[in-house]
Amino acid sequence: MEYVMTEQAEDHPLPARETAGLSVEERFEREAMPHLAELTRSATRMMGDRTRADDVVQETYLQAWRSFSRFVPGSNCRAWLYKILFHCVHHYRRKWFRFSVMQPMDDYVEATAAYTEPIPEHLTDEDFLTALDCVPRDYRAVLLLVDVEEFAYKQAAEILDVPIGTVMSRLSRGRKLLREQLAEAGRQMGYGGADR
Amino acid sequence: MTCSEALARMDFAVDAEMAAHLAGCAACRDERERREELRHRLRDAVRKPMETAALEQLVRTRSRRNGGGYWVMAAAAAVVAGLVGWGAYEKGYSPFGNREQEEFLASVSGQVSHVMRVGLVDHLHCTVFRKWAKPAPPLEEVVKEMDPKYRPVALLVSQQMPPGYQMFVAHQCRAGGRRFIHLSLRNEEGKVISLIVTRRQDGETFGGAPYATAHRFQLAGFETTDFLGYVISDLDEAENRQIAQALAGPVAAFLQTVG
Repeated sequence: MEYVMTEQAEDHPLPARETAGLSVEERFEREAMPHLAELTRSATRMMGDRTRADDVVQETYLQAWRSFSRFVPGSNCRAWLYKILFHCVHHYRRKWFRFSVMQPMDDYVEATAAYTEPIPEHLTDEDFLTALDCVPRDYRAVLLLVDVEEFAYKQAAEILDVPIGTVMSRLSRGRKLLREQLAEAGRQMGYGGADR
Repeated sequence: MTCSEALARMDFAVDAEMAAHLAGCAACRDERERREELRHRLRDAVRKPMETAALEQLVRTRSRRNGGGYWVMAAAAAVVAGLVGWGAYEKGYSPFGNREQEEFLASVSGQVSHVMRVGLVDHLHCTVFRKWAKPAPPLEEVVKEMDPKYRPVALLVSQQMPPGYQMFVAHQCRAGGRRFIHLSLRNEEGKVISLIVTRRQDGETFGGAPYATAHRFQLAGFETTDFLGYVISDLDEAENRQIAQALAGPVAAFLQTVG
């Protein structure tokens, strides 16, 4: 499979002159390998554990390596790697979890826009990760791409291969689900009944 | 713009109309700040640094198989480090610095499936990379590191082993975010056998491939409803399988009693 990103704006692109004259192997080392850690953390959140995440990241880099000769120097390597990553996550899950998972509908609209419950300050990073892991996969993917990795909506749409409107609705729904999870975690820890 | 309309658009970019509303509405302004703060905290939580040096090495090693001079050099370095490490391991002590451990781990664990790697990584960390006293203390001393409820399995395993093997590891440990029960035995020639047990996670199974070879390690897996078991050794393949087959039933029965 060939991976193509139409959005070519690199967040911090390596100037073409810096990669001119380098071999494919050297370019891959300089452009792709520095993103491995952040891809691993995103994969860990998507797969639910580090071991599976490592498998998916390996597969991502193997596929990236195989098609790297077609990668345009100076274009958005990070977004390109994420696109491959989410493709691999999807295939890994299909391979290992051969049952269908009911996913909420994409055309969700905030029917009851309301002020949110304040999130207790005492919640730890671990509480945030647990809450995120409870958000359904499609919404979690958008939260990771937009809120954590700070991709633009358009880039997230290209990475996930969905319309930009879907990214926005999933983002809105995902944030709401995350807030609900955190509020529930706060209540369970005795921080409920916030001061609103 | 009403507060209700502002809330519905709260998660997206602020346009002029929204900005005007926020300027005059303290409640919506607070709400937006609260949501922004939540995003910051989520970002900080997810972006905590992770150890990925071993994975990087593994990626390079696997890519080597797809050609490329650079990768060949990097992988060759890993293999050399692995061989040097192995030679020292054979002499009975741990020679591995952090980097050598990572390279050896990457070059060996890349040769087996995900489910096999779970046990193999624990075997490498606890048995190969750590130093252990020689000769090993008596069994009753070794098992003191274990939770008392798991100690019977140490006795059970030691009874099933070929003659001449003495237990030198009996503990619970963690690797890759998982918990393990780990027992290791060795003989005078330095041959090592490990039994490793961990809880199954969703979808994990040895399926039709319960045996594997990586470097000089032979792996055999067995599974119960809740657990994965591994016998990993540097014996030959047939001996390793034989030990796994002898251990699988009694260990599974024991695991049922501890839940």
